[in-house]
Amino acid sequence: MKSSIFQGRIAAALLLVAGTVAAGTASAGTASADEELAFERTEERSRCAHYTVTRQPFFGQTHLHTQYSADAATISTRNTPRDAYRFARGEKVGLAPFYDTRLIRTSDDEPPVGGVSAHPYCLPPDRCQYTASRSIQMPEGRALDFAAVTDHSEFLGETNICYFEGGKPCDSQAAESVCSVDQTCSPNTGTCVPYGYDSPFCVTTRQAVNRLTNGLAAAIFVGAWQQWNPQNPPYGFCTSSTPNGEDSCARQAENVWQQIIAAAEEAYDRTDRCEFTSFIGYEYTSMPQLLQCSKSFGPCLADDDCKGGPTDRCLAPGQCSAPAGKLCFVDQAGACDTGGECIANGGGNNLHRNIIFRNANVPAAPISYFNVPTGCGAGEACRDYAGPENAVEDRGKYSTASGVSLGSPTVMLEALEGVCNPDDGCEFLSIPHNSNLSGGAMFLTPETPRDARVRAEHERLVEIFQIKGDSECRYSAQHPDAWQPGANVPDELCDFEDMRFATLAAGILVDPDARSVPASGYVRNALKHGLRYQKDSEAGVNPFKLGFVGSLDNHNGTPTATEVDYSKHGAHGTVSFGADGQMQNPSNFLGLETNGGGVSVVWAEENSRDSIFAAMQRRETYATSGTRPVVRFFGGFDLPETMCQRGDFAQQGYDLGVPMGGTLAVDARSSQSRRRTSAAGPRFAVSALMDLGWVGHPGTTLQRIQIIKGWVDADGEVREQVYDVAGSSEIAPVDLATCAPAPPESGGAASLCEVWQDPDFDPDLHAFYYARVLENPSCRWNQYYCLDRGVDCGKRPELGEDVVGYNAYDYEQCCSGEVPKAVQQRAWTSPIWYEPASDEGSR
Amino acid sequence: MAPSLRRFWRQPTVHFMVLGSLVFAFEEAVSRSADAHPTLEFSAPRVEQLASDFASQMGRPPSDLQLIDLVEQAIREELLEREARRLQLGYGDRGIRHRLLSKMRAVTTDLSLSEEQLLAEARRLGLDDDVIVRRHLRHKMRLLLRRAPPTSWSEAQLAAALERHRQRFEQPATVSFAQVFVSALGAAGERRANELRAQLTGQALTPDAAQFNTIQIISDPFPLGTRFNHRSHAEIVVQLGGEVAEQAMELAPEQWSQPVASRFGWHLLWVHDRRPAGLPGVDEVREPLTRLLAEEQAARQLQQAIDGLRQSYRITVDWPEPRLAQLAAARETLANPEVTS
Repeated sequence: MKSSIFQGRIAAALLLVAGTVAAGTASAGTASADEELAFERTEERSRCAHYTVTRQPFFGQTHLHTQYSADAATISTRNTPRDAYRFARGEKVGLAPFYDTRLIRTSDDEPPVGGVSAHPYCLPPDRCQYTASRSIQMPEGRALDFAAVTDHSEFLGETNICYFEGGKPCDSQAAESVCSVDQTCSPNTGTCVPYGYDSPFCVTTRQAVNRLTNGLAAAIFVGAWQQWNPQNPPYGFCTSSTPNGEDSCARQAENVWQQIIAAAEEAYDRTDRCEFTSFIGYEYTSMPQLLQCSKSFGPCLADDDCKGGPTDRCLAPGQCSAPAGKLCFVDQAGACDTGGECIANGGGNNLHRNIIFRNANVPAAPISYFNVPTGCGAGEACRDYAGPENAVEDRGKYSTASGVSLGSPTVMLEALEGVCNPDDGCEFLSIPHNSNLSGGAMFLTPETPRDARVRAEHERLVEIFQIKGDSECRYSAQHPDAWQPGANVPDELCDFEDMRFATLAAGILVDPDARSVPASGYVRNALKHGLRYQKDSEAGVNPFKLGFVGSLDNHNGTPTATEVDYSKHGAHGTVSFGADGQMQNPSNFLGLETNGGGVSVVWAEENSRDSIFAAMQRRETYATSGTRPVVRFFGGFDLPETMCQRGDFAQQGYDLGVPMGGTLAVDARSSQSRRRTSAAGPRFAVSALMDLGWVGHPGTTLQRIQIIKGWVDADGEVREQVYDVAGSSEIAPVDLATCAPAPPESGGAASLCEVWQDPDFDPDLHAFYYARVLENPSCRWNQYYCLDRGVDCGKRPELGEDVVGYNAYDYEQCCSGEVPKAVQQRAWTSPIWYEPASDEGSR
Repeated sequence: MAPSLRRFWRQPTVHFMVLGSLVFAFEEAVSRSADAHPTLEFSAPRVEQLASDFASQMGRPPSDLQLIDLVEQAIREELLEREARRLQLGYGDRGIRHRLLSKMRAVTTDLSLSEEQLLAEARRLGLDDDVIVRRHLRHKMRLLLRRAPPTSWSEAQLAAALERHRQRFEQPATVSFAQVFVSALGAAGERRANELRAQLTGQALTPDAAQFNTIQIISDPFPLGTRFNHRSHAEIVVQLGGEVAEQAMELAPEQWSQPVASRFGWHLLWVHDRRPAGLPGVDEVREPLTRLLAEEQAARQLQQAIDGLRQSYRITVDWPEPRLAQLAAARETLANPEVTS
């Protein structure tokens, strides 16, 4: 029976091929060296031997911090971008704490390069001035294909000044300095150091780190952040000791930037093996209102934000306290009393962006939040903000008067356009992250068509998942429809890696509900609002046409992690649970270090900068919550129902439809046939392979694939619907005692493939579709942690008592039931958008 | 002269190093005959101090071999420092001068002394023997010994270095292949794969350009596709599992393999190209190679110089334990078999 089916398939195949070969199709999936590239090559390098026309998945990271970030330096991280790239490529690197072994041997023969210290350390058994107490290396096969180091552009120079090491010997009394022009001779060390090194600011932050008084050094930088004054940068210590009042901080920032560039250039594999691609980048750390009270603003995007009932920003159910699209207040986690007086820390609206450059043509210096603030800016500029009625007067150029909504990155993006011109070969992408901690302000409705267009041009991707939580969507049993305007049935799978804050560095919310965590902080809602904006506004552009990437935001300089590694090392230097008993801080389980972090996957022809960057621009990417399933997703009106029966799945997807990240539009030239085809609705083909894992750690099978549709209905309301399209809703459970995945016979699939057609398609309505691929449950990192320590839930230790390797707090976390022991790892494909014909030409 | 080179030659350190090299050479010639074998005695308390420093830093005492290495390291540091003093490197050093002056000013009440007098007095009092001064001296000595003239490497040298560092630069063997995939698992899948193979072979279907679409249509869909270009063993393990990787690396080319099982199902493989493991061209890795050669040269020069110093000294270590002395001697013998007698 089977055999005849197969014979039939071969016969049919031969028939089909007779047609396609005659038509001269060049779809062999392979490329000869002189075949035209599918993307523009902007740099000198060889074509990769593995070049594949139908593209291949590359696994990488788009968000990582090293020693050059102030917050990483203050938690004792010594890995530089060079170390980070070595680690990404599979080598071993060290982790804090670093023992100061200076007494045993000096290694003062490590001169800084270009005025930036390399922060050398040794791995045991070697010893030098600093010896790592821990080391980390990814399992074989888990190295990355690409990575971007994205240190905070704020304090780049300040960090190098304060944490400088290893300058050459000098005499501070000498008439003629032997130090380079941007350095001076420190009478305290007898070596050349950057100007400002001996300032009280730097001395204090250094001491704070040396004493391992966690958090203090970081607090000093936060204090500096608060004191920053947009009218009068830079900080006093940057200029007070320089000969001509020059800005030492700016100068040092340029030095560090040059090292970031050099490290990326060195790590990039330009041979035709194409084993690794590095991207030059940085993080623009926009954070209005950091640690300031706290007339916090929150967005009121539409009346459907107010479904939950009267709150500070909702006068009545379904009625915003301000007109839709205007600002209204959110009570931030009890941060302010009703009069707006500060009674607690309200945190900062996380409006951070990672900036990734296409190639080595990059600006002379990164743009920081201090150079070009978003929102109300920082420091004094925000302090007196008293409400929407004052917005225009108080905020000057940062206000809505400039035609840019609060929280919009447009001011920064335009500044970056000014120094990064495609005509000079400079191109960039801006990737927002942690909209879940933005206080709902990440995706405020654009104020003007210009605002919308600039965002649409540069913000094509969003980091939907990372260590500090999931930004896709949110669900809670107490407030089933709080975060899902327009959903017929609440999506319980949105109850995934939620954070208990609404803003960064805020206090933990005891009862995070829709009032304190705005719905507009979630990407699915932003996608829906984007559709509506495109439909309603004169701009005709979708400002939130966002593909997905996932990342870590690790501050150890180690750009990838498995749940097992994460359970040992965390992601935040000496304040990680694993390093010094910081487990005792509840925010380590349920706060800053909520999960092991995600992965970005890019479908590209080859592993090179141009190929990957082009894929990011067309959003042919997907995010995962940390594991590495392979997922393809195509949509199209002409996709055949039989796609999952044939090996040319991808070829058909590209020939007859669009891949993830693409847009379906009906051909306006043949409106009649369009009506006929489109009424039937587009098909979506999704195909996934489970992550195979690595030696000694088999991967987990796939449970199911869902397609999530969002649209704007005929009444102009946003809607959403989740469809199960493949696999099973049954769970194949993990063995929590061993963390071994369920055996194949207990259910779950190694691969899934399905062609699905939208049953409720309406050709006149804007819509988007993305696939969510769920694995069966596997151990969450904390379960590895608990097993590793042998926590016995039948044996409770007293406070302060260690019962063979675990303490009362370990017991609480491992046994209270509050922290989930298992997790359904997942992948989210970038959406495919459908635009009705009337929108043709406006994309 | 390029501006950077001009700047280089203007630097006082460079003047100093050139001068230093001359002095060094002269001293070598003159002083060796007078004092053929200066001595260095490493006392038992110093050995114990090293052990206790180690213990306080690492939280455990050093092993015997570790302790011997620590002592050897300390001896080499001291040799550097002694040579630096013998060459009077400290006299030209502004950092050390400042250090001595500030220490001396802190202890003296005589304000009439000139700087030179203060310095002489500081040296007489032994104030030039502190951690910072010693560190500076060793630093200068290392720089002096490491210093090599800027070299432009010949193509032959670069090629030799590439060969020498084969392990670091070598690119793995790769294979290019096509597959027909059967998604059914177990015996059923194997049966289907075998039937399919018989038909592919029977109809002489190959994955060349003309027939590739047929092959694609016959296969079940596989997200990674049907064509795999230049994959290494490690890469295939990650994407298709160990068994497929083993087979792909071994298979005879241009024929359909027997069904190979993976976690996903069954695979029929057709290998059409191989590239053996090998080195990239010098041009592709010129920059890292050049850096490596310069670093090697400097390290070699430093090592030889310190070895030379070590040979010229008569060194005795007062080991606190006889077994350490034996172990150290045995280690010495192992390291330098020709000097045993």
